[in-house]
Amino acid sequence: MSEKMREKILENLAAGSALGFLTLLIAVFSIVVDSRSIAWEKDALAISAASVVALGRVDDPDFDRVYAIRESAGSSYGVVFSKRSSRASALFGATFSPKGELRELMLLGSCSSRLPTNPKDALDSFTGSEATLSRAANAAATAAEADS
Amino acid sequence: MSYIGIVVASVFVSNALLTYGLGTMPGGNLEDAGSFASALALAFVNTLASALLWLIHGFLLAPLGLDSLDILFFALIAVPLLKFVARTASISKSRILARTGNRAEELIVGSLVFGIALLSSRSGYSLSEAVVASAASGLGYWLVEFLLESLRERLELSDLPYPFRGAPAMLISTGLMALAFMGIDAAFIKGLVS
Amino acid sequence: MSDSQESFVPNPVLSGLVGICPLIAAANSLAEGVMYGLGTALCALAIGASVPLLKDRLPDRLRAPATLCLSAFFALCYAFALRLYSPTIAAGLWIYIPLLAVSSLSLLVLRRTSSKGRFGTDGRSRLVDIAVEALLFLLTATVVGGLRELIGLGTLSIPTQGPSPARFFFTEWAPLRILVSPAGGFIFLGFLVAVYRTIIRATRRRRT
Repeated sequence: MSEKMREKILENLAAGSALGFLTLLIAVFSIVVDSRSIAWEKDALAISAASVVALGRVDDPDFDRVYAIRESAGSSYGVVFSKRSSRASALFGATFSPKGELRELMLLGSCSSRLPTNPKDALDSFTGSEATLSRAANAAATAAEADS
Repeated sequence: MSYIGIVVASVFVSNALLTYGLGTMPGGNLEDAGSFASALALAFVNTLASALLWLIHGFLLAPLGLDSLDILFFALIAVPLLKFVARTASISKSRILARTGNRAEELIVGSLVFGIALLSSRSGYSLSEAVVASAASGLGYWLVEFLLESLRERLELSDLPYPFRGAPAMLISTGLMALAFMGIDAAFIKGLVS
Repeated sequence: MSDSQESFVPNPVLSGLVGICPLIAAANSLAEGVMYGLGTALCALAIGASVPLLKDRLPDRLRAPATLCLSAFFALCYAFALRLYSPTIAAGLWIYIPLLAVSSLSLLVLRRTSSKGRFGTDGRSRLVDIAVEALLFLLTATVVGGLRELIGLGTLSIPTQGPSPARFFFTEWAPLRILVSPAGGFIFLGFLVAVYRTIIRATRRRRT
């Protein structure tokens, strides 16, 4: 192997290691941020965050996770999702019964819009909101089945 | 949504430039902005970029729970691959392929390609739907480029007041075009084709 | 399409049209404009400070990919920090935060292609140059976002920590809602650039 080739390989290895280190750093940061986000979402869904348990990740464009809210009367299942249009964006929280029926809808926060204060009206102002709620209900029902 | 719905939505309702503001300002310093080579480059680069990002997301990031790192892995893996393919095309003997390759090289490290790839991967599409959506988004951007290029030629010949010559007139024209595209209602299209 | 760099307040967005399109879609309120502008400014500064340090250690062929990866790294750091600070603004800015990886690079390309730095050509002066450009981008994003929200919705939202930005209402109804959509953003920016040009021309005439 020529000297030049060896140098090139060493340079590539060094660059690759540096990038690998950066990737590891950012991966650790993302895990920390995820855990803080989960804590925030738990707070948003229930009065007592201690009663909320994060279940597995969900593959959905609008929400990441389903939460189980343990109450004395039984469990309900919650989801925090975002909706966005070209003019506004908002974060909503929804809780469902184990069968997937909507129990409560909350408007957690909004940006750049005069959204209605009623969460249902606010959600209706975004396209695709029914589809999102229906997917969230299905995810809650599936999580309830796995949980029981 | 059906593939036709995805194409119509990506070209008109969710146009890359007019709805999401991706890409450089058309009618700027772009040569061959409305040409066939440009259309080919836009469709090809966006399709390949979205497919790569979808695969990276599906097979590498999602299993590890690192969904938010998509842009870093895109820069690490997809961009060098895309550059290699574009460079290979640009040194080809075929004139159209060479022009496509050159245009593709200009596009790769830009908000258009990154943005369309991110949009496709975060919209919950399957691989085939993501590929169709991104190709359609690229062609939608090309359509707007083509229309604005014609507008720009007309504006250059018009006697506009100094403050509005060039960029301001182009921006206002783009805004009026975006207003026209806004008339295509997302819910109506979804109802029509789903 | 860009004006001369000798304007009295040279501005990367209003004279060089740098990062203009994502700004139109992202900055449709004061809170989002500030956070987007801040992200671009911080990322551009971070890359501007770190790339010269690597210049001597990296061969030419690795410089561009390394810059892009560094840019993506800084953009991700900012994205995570924003998610912790305000989840609603982070959700509102959506794909525009990861896109900081490329929009902050375009600020640096503008600096690199200009013939001379405003403050000199050595390393520290170039960093000061980048800092000034970044600050001007932040200012422009703030002005664009703030005016669009004020005239469009009659409100102003301050990017406070927590679930929602603090909002102040100035009118009972939205005066010109179209302004917060991308279409209105293009039109608004067109008029803003025209006003900026008029001011520059008047200033140059007064100097000569």
